[in-house]
Amino acid sequence: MTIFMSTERPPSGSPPINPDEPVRPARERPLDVLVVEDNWLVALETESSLQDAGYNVLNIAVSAEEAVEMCREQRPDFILMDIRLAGERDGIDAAIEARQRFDIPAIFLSAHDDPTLSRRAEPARPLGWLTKPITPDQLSRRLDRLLASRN
Amino acid sequence: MTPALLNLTRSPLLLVDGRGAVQEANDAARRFMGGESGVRSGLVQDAALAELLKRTGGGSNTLPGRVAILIDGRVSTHTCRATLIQRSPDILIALEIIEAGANRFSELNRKIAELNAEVDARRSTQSRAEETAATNLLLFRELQHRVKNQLQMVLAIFSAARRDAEPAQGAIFDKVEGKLSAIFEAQKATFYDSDMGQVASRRLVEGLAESMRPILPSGVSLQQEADDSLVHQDHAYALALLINELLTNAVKYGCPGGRGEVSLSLKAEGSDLVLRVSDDGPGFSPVAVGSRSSGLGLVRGLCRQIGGRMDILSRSGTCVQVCFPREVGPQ
Repeated sequence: MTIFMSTERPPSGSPPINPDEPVRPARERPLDVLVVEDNWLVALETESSLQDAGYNVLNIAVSAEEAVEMCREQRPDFILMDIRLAGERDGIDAAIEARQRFDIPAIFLSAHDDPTLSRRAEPARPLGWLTKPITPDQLSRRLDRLLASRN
Repeated sequence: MTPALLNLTRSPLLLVDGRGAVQEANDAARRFMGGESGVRSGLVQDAALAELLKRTGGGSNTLPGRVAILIDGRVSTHTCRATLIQRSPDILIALEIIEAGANRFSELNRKIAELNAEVDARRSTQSRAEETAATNLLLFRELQHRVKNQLQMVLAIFSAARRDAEPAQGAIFDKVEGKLSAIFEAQKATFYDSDMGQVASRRLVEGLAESMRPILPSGVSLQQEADDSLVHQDHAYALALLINELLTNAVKYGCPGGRGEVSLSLKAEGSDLVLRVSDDGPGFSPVAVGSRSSGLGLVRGLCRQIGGRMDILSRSGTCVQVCFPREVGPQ
């Protein structure tokens, strides 16, 4: 998997940059993301927010099995992963499998903030954790920051 | 031996001869043996007596032991202390029946049994309580999870509406979204600890600054500061909205051209919590009151809700200071 991100710095003489303001990296192509979310309304709005923010949403999965299957077929750059899903297995299971089989990383977006979950998710080596509720604006900015700090 | 001497002990005391027959008895022994007839019929049984004598070995040591005593045709066994007090011409043995002692032990045993039963009952209550606490924590987490998911749905509905709205209406959506975010941050801070009563000032302030910072104009910097004080849960939501409103005002009026420094602080001072939101702008005179649900109208109302007093200091820039009691008074 390759993610292209520019390392361009803003030209000198431009206004001082708010350190908390993420610098949106100019990408050679939009990143492909798989949204895993079993609440349809939330999934649709997440998809729209991500598209507005310049990501390419490949698909929406509602279960762990579907998520792994879509990873196999479509090879997204990363997964935006809810934890509690339809079906037996949860998002942590799916993230671990996606990482181990296809080396696809996940960013968790869930209503949980239980520390035992992050320990369980260690084998998935997630890029980060986001907590619901999150506004579209916060979502895109935090994703930008997480994906930028990766390089 | 005189009765007075025998009555020196409150325990039943018998003097028995070599055959085990009771020669003398003190008052306690009389009561113990059921009166004079009991005393006359009383016979310490041979085997027990022989054993005692063997153990005394002719000395005058007091020895503990057990004897069977025949009283009015019935044999009962008792713990006693025996002393050989006379060997000749006739053997005379003093037997102190530790009846009271036996009772005391049985009383202790009864107490121990009672205590054991109580310990068992408490253990089972405790394990039930622990089970209940574990279940409650689980339910609490579940509730928390559901509330957050439902808030996410509120946001989804809201952002779908924004998508359908005219671009000119964007500012209204921004305002509402800011207020919703403030409430969500208060909710996150409230749910962070299982202690539902109090919210850590630091968590609330950092959460609010964190949610606010990305939507500030890029030339505005926001510094936040808080101590280890706690905010009463009843105040947390109003306070979050208040902070959101004051920060919005500070950016709007205190950062002309989208540039400036805004600071937010929440600290305990005596019995009050003090909130300060300041900017380094031109200083704003609070003339524009607006409606009661926005701007300064909302700020005043929220202040009143948390029992606070607001002061607007306008020197270099504007500083809005709200003091409110740390304790929540009776509603």
